Amino acid sequence: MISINWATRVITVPKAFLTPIGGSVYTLDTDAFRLALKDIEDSVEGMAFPVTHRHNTAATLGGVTYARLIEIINGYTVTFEDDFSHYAVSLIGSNNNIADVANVNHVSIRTNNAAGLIEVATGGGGTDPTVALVLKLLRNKQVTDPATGTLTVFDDDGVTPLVSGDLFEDAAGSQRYRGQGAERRERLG
Amino acid sequence: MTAILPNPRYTIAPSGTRKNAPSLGGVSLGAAALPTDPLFYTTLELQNVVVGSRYRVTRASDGTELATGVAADTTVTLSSIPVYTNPMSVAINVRKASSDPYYKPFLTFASLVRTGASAYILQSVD
Repeated sequence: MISINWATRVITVPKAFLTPIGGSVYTLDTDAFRLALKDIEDSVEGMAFPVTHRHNTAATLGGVTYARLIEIINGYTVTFEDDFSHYAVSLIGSNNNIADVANVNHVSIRTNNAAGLIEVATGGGGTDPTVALVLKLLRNKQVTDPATGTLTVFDDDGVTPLVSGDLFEDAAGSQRYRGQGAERRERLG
Repeated sequence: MTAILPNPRYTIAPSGTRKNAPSLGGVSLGAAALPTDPLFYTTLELQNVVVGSRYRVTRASDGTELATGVAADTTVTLSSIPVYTNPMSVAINVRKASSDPYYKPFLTFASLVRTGASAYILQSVD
């Protein structure tokens, strides 16, 4: 059975808890796994310790059932029994972070997480620096300088140069831009 | 020094401080409260508990276990909970995950005073 070392917060999964599917490949029913953890959590001993994971059950939206989500939390890690046979474990039945918190040994772990709609940080000049830079490159003031033959993109204040790159009149890059049209621009940096 | 008490008789009588003051052959034996002794004991009632849930009540400040058990009824009355400060905040952990239906872990807090306290346990299906 599943066991937890409360002192080290290591969850140990014995090989017998896995289902063989041929060769040296096994599956771990992650729902059965988390129910086993829950069973330990509400034991006399387990009540004194933080919960091992967070669980959001499967949900049906518009006729499509989205998989349950299991997240190991509170610093717990997972160790699969290492018998040095180099077997592989496929995690089935949920999107989870078990592979992220697994302790490295001779057991291979195959995750089956699948993302449909995901959330990313967005917003004008928002928290994602990459998105903020892209917005500046698309929107901010640009100057093509015939004296230096460069293209410069300025920061939001319109004064501070943000990135700059060489600009050429010909595609071959032999004649720098002189105010007579440009065919080539080097990487901005 | 060894004291020899002829015909010792042991009696217990209420003292002025409402503590029982034993008396042994005319010699009073006092019992003083330690700083670590509870101020008083009171009752904590847990309401709306799913039968079969395991509960654990701890002192919020240091995690000292005050009571634990399995709910046999939807209302659990825990009497004689020691209270060390007035009021004293307690953490109430309730879990039920050993048999179907399973419930998410529930944690709430209550303030224990001399008249006791009650907590409404709102568990949700996992």
